[in-house]
Amino acid sequence: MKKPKFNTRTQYMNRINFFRLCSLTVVLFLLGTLLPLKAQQTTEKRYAKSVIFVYLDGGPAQTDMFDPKPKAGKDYTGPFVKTSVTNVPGIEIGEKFPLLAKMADKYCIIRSMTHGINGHETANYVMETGSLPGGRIVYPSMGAVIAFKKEATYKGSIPAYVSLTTGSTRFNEAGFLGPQYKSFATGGSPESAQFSVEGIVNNSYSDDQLKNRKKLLNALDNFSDLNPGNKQLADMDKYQQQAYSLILGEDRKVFNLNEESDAIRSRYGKNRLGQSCLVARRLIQKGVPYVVVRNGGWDTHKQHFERMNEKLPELDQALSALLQDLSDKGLLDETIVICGGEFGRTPKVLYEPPWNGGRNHFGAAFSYLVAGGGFVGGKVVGATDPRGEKVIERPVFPWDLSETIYTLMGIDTKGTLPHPTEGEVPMLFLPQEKEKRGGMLTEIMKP
Amino acid sequence: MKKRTVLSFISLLISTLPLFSQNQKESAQDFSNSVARLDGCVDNNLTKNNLKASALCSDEVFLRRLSLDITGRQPTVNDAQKFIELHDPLKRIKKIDSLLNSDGFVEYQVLKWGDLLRCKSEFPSNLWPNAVQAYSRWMKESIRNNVPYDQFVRDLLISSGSNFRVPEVNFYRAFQTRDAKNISESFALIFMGMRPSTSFGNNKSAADLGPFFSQLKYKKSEEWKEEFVYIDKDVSPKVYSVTMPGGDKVTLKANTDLRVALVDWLTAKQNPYFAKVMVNRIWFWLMGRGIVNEPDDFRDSNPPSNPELLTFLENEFKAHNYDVRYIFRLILNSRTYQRSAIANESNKTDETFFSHYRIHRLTAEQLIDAICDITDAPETYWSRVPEPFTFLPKDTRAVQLEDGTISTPVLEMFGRPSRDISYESDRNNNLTMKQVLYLLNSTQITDKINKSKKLRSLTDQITVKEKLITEIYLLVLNRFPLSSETSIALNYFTETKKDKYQNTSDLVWALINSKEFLFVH
Repeated sequence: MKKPKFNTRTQYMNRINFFRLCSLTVVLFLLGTLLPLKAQQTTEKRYAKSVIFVYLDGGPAQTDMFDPKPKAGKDYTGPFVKTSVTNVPGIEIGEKFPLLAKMADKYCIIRSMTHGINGHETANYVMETGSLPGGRIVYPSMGAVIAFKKEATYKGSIPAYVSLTTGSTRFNEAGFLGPQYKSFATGGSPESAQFSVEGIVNNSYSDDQLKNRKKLLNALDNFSDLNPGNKQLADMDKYQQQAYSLILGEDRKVFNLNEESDAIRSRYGKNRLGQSCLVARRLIQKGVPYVVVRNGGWDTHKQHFERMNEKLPELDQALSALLQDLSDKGLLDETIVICGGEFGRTPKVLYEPPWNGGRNHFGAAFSYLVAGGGFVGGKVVGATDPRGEKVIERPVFPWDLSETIYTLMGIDTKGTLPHPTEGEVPMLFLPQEKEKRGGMLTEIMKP
Repeated sequence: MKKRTVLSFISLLISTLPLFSQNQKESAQDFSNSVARLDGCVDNNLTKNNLKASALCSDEVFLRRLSLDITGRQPTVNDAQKFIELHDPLKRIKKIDSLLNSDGFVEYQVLKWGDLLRCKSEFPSNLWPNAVQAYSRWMKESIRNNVPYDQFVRDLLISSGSNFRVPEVNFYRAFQTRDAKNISESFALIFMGMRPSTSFGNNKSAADLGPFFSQLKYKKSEEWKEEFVYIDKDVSPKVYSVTMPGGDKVTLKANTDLRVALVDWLTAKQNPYFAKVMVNRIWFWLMGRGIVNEPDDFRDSNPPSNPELLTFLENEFKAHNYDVRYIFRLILNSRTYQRSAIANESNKTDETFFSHYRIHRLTAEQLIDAICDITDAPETYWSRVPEPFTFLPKDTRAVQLEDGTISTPVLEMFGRPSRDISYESDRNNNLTMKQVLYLLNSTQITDKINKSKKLRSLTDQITVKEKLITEIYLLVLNRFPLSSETSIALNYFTETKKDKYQNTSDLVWALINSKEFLFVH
């Protein structure tokens, strides 16, 4: 940061006289603290380092959450007739979000997400890849793309793309990039006393037992001797070494939540979602570029409001704790947090059998929360009509969001990805029609 | 020396007369001649390239390789023990025949064809579960009855009707975008080994075949998710003559099903692609590398590594009425297939001429099934579509999963194909660090082993430690242990104070993590 400042000064020194230099020095002295910041902004753009995607699997109900419609009547609101007034004037969110309401300055709400797809699989594909479905190319998820693009810079032993606690079962996350770019799913229960992480932390064995077994394996595994020089066999030896440095090494501790205080653990909520969000924070502290917290149970065709009474407070607690914690630790600026599902749910409640008070899939208009990593806070993007049934202002398509996220991560969206049979293909598959492009979310990106 | 081996091999084959039905004597003699000619094609090429072939593999290696390659499963302890101990010079030939006639072969072929035809109930194919089931049942019946390949393809491509009742029509539904261009590209890839980017000498490519699919129409019915695929003959051809890749001209007649003209051209004996692509694909399935490689990349600038061999197999396929099992039998009985994976000084860098068997990691399904078999702890497979979820029967094997949408994270981690595309490379058998982590230290694997009732009862029943070790070797690696291995295991059993079940678990775990287990060799 000092270098540009010094260069500027020497250039001036060559050109201007001593008196001018004196006054300039004073000015420079006064601006001393501001200049480095300025130089940083203009010459070296700071990019986000990580993404935490809190994925609400099944499709969460936007009108009960970030886009409440209290005036639409009980056919629409169900029992949730009130709203929470936030700390940002003019922004109200659902009544079940009191904690998030206190920190609306930390995030933005997109109320005009739309893709019009009502099937889980296709919608999941679209939201996690940010690409239009169709054609013959099946794209990788954003996590796989970021893991691929960050290969040169991220050298940690923890995989670059982690899912807590399961990966997507709706589509193939790795797309054409191949299975090595699929997310590493931890499995296990972060909310339990001992969080077992598939392959890394196995609580049924002590380190001594692990070492003993390793010795036995090494003694018996002589197949390479018959096939010296075989690359696949040599690779396996290499991978086993790497694996053991993780299994018996220091880095596995990132998953040990007992290193966190009880106060912090309680703040996130001692349930799967809350503790997964806490693990996510620990992972991005280690530099892991993409973490998905996949939370199920949002596909509420039936008993919708009963389920929401359980799920919404959990989400309120976990998400607010995550944003606060990231902010307290100075990590929010370098961490993008997004929260949403594959689609929303029908704004009108289905009171008729067999639903008896449920909400179905709704891809026409739904909400996403975005925060940190180059997003400003305290803004709402777009709007829906008074019943929440269609987007009436600034539609945001999935590709608008993915383009924004890639850009904030410093990844050129005009770049390409290597397809095994098609050669280099565009980063995103975008629709041709102009009306299906909302454009990047520049209105909520920091300048 | 070499000559004598060939001769004895031929005489062995001839002496298997009773195994071959129909025109017994003659056909057995013909068959062994054919096998010898196949090996001759390979050997000539090796000599030309100054390569020495590796020796034949041992019986235990042969049995494991054969079982995995054509049925997707490891031999059982009984099978392995019996086969190794059997003194019968014909035992390999008999084993090949019995496995080719087993359900395992049919299942494994359905898996391969499911991959090629992108059989999947949701995204991106959206076939829907009922249609997937019907489609797979159709494949299974065709394969079980060994329907000649040209007939199989004709049935598949000239089909019209309901996705539930005429399952073959699902060929035309397995597309994200159902337009003539996509369909013709898929057609060319699967049956002509021709990629969309390829253009041939006469500057023709897959897209030029589009007009043959221009009459396809789709229509929903009253039944949920039922869809009719039909041909609208009133759609007149955009062009009345198409110059095909290779130069033939095919005429398109108004008011006819245009697909018939295409299939007639494709399955004609003089077609330069059809038979060649299929025999090369079978070769790829068995040898791990095509004579033209990749097997779906036929183009002028990618010539076969052994043109005589490819032509020979193509002619055999045609002469035997497109009998797929015949080609399998021919290749499996060859010395080329039965060579050891252990390379010699002259051939260790050979990747293209089939001088030795190419080792490859067990496929996702093979590996998971093998671990389930060893521990007798099956996986649970279930379909998320439609709701409410459907659970498959407890003993379902991964190779039996007909629907690409039914999957587990582990299968995907080990490179099970997404069925998004029809390339053979969609199946990824590369080993990764995540896979090694999973095998070494996941709770899924250790639980399967530690909680295995089967392993516990083996430990209880077999009290002599040496015998238990032998049993475990047969179970996991399908062979008897060497005496050095037995003593390493015995040492481990006695040196640390562990309960006997833990000893068994640890040995099974170590063998599952050994290269000998993870690779077909």
